[in-house]
Amino acid sequence: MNLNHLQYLLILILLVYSCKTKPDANLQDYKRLPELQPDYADISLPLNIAPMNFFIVEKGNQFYIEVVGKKGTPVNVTSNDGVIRFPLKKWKKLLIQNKNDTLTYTIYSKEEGKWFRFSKFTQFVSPDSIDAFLYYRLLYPGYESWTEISIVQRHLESFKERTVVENNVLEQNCVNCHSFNAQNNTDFLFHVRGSLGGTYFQKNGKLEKVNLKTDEMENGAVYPRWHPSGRYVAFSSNKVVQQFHASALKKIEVSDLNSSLVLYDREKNEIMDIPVDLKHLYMDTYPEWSPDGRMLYFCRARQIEEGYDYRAIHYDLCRISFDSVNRAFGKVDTVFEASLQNKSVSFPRIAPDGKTLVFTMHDYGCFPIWHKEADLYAINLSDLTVKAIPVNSEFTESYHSWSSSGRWLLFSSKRGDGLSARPYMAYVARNGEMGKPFVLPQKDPLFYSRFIKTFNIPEFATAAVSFTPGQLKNAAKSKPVQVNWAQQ
Amino acid sequence: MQNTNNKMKKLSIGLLYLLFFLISFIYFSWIANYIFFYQEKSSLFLVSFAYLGEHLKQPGGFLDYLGKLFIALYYIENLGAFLLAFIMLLIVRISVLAGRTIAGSSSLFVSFLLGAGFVFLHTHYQFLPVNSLGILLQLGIFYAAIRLYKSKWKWLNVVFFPLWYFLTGGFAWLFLLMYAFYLISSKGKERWIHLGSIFFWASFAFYISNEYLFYATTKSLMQFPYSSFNTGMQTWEFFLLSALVVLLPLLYKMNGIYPFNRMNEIPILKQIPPLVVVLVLVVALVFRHDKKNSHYFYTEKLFYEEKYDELIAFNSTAPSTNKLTLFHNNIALAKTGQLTGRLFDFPQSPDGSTLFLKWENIGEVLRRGGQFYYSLGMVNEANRWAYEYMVMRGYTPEGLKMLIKTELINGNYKVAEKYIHILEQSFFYRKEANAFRLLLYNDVAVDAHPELGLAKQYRPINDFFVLSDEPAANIDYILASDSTNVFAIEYKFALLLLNKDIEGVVKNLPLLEKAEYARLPKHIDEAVSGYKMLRMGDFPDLEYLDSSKETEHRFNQYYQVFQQNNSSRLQAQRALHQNFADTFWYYLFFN
Repeated sequence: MNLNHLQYLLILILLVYSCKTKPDANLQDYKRLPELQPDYADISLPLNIAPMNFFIVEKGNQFYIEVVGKKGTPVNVTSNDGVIRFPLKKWKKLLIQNKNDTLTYTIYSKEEGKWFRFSKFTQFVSPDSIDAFLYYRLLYPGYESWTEISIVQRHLESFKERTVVENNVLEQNCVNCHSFNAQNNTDFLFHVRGSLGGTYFQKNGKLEKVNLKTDEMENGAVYPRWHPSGRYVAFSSNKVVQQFHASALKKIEVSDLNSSLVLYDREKNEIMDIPVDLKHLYMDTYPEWSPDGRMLYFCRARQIEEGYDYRAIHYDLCRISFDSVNRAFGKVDTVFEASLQNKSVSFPRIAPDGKTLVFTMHDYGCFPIWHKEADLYAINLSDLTVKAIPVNSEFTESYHSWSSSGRWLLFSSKRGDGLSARPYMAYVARNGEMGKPFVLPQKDPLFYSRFIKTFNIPEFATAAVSFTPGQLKNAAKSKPVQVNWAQQ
Repeated sequence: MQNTNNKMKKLSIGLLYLLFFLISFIYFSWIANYIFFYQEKSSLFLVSFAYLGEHLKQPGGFLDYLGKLFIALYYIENLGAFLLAFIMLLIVRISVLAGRTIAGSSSLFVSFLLGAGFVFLHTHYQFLPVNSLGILLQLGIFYAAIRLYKSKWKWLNVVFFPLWYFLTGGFAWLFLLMYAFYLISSKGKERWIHLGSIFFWASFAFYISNEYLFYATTKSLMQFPYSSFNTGMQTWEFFLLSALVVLLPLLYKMNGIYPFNRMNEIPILKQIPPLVVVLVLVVALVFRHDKKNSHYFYTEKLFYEEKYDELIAFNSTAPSTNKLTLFHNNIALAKTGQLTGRLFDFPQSPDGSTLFLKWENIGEVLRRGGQFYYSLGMVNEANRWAYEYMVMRGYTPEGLKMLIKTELINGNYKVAEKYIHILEQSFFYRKEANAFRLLLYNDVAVDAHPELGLAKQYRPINDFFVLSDEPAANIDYILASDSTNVFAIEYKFALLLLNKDIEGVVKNLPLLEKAEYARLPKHIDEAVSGYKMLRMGDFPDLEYLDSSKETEHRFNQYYQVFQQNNSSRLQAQRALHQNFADTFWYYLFFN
């Protein structure tokens, strides 16, 4: 066989191959959208997002996908099993070329030798990028026990995942409540419970272990929120109880027995009560600073008494002014009385422009992740009007956070299987309208249908944070810095 | 003549190996086969790249993976016995070969001592094969390394040590020490450079692993996959055997030194010590046999196979006082409708701990306690126990099946599907996984399923918070929700009987009519007869249930004998034991 023959043979093979994988003119229209997993049809994409790989839940032994933008070369993908993975470089190029425009998807399937075409769908390529990093805690959505818990960094422009903290290096103690100061990696902290317990602050690239608990405090400090100045961190100090439902409809109920707000002053290494409830009539939790740092929002319910009914605990949204220079607070003001509707509010989170606050609303209590009815609501901080935001499902929507630009809202939803929370994102237009939410894309589009662990406390960040095992061990071994109690 | 002697020598050594193998195989196959059941039910090996990937996150993970693969094959007990006996044989054989390479002649005594030691350790049901596999791999690599040391490729021993550490974790230090002793006892100056290099390289690899690569504690990086628990807490025994392994190069060297080398010149002297080792092993194995655990694991096996009648019959002929055995036995009695009829055929704890297990989030209780709630229809709680165990100890076949069943019952099909997908990746549970898959997204099929349908039917209608620390309290909540739940009724009466609460038994009799009991179960009948005959109080209005004449007659007999011997409690007990030991009355007075 000479070289010419070989060329012809190669061409023939290519032709046969292309005949097999590309639909021909003789095709039939389904006149319906294909079922995709995850559902990425008709969404707004961040300009810099990783490929939105998906699985086609349709019959067929071959699939052909064509993604066309107004500009640039279309991206075509073939698959025998319905798993669609887009090449990273081509994907990125396509997005940049079609910024502020739409991508049109056409999906073909081949069944018994015949090609079928589904109705087209589109995606809008937003001109707004998303923060490059997403941080979350991976753990089993369980009850009391844990073994492996890790805080993970996911690069949103690719599929790279990196461990930030893993509890295997910390004698399997519980690791929780990681927190950034407004998506900024210079201020970062996380808690460790148990034998190596403490709050670990990142300071100049190093980890410092701090013991925030003083003799004056009844409970430890949780649910941290950084003041924009980076000088203060507000916490809730809670005593909780966990109970297990017998009915199939619910699993777990976590309730506060008491809770109050405390403020940690990083500069003075002091912790103090936030004076919102001098008479101890309430349970105050979930602090949140306004972007200008002049207002502290929080959730408040009446202090429970013995023989309480957990279904009657309802939290309202309140706020108090703050003078960061003099470390002084004003008077409490109620922003939204959810209790009047027999509802409860959790996780207030304010958009970076300070105009909108999104919270989770549910039937009762303060632990909405186990409440199927929990949904996200927005309050307009200028006129205090409240409305449900169009990202909710029949399952739990709970912990949420904003991107640094305020154009993307990130939240946990259990809509996938009802048990494990997944990070969903939705575009927030300048007029406040929200796009259809989509789940964090994965290299393997079937990832979520197999993955047992839950994504907990998803938070955006603009830059990377990670610690080597050695850094974690050294910090864990070090003697914690003891904070002092500051009298009012 | 010399040729014949050599043949005889080879034959006798071969027979020695065969004898050692057969003893191990027969013992594990017929006498201690319960260890395979226990270990196989304690983990679940998955055939997937993801599972392999999870095991490559830490040095030693690969060895752990091999150990779990080995355990998965224990599903077929004879195969497990064969593999285990074969591993033991390989330990002996490779150490013999290593000895021959070091000293020029084989040292059977030390090698058989080592093999016998591991056979002995394996008789403990918690001693996992990862330990002997770890030792075998170190012996194997040591043998290869000392052969390589004599060639121009000797530096490969140094270069590849970090890889070996990554694959076999803490066990690799045994190789390092063996190799160090080998080098120390060798000749030539270069050995010191070699020794220094491998120690420097190993230290460097460990430092990098500890500081930058692996998210594990320093202790874990030093010893994983070894753990005291995985040796059945036989820490010192394992340590001694490991020390023997480490010192093998020196012992082999001694074998070539006078007076040991004199023994090698007389073949008969050489065969006798290993034969003695094997014979001592036989004696040790006889004494080592753990009858209690053998009995317990057999009943647990019958329980998982849902052979409840067989389980009860076995416990009747071979009574046990093990609380877990009795716990399973009582569930079997409840499942077959005999709990309140045959409760006192078996020993019971008055505190109810043979009826239900209190919550513990560690250990064996967590693995089994959920079965009580599952029988009762408290599906959420059964799921919680199985889930917590999974989080603490990883997937196990029965735990995963419980998660699947409870999620199917609760209609959480997407979650159930994930667990089914995991079960499908196992070696031996695919058939069951396929059967579960047929139930997905099909409420009608779940309802019609004999086991799941029943559990679904008995799920509590009204919600309440489960009291895991007071299992008995949940029974009343269940009955308040559904007074016809026969399992709850059986357990309620069983507890009243255990608490000797005769008034409670009588007061609750209407529950039995409501649940359409045809007649009073034996022990309830006994309690009611006594109550009636001794006129202890009022009787509730019942439509058709009443104590039987025959039981009343027996009570009279019992009471008569009791009265005749009322001067001495012990005497009364003796007099009544033969005919009434399995009655409520006997329990009432003598327990």
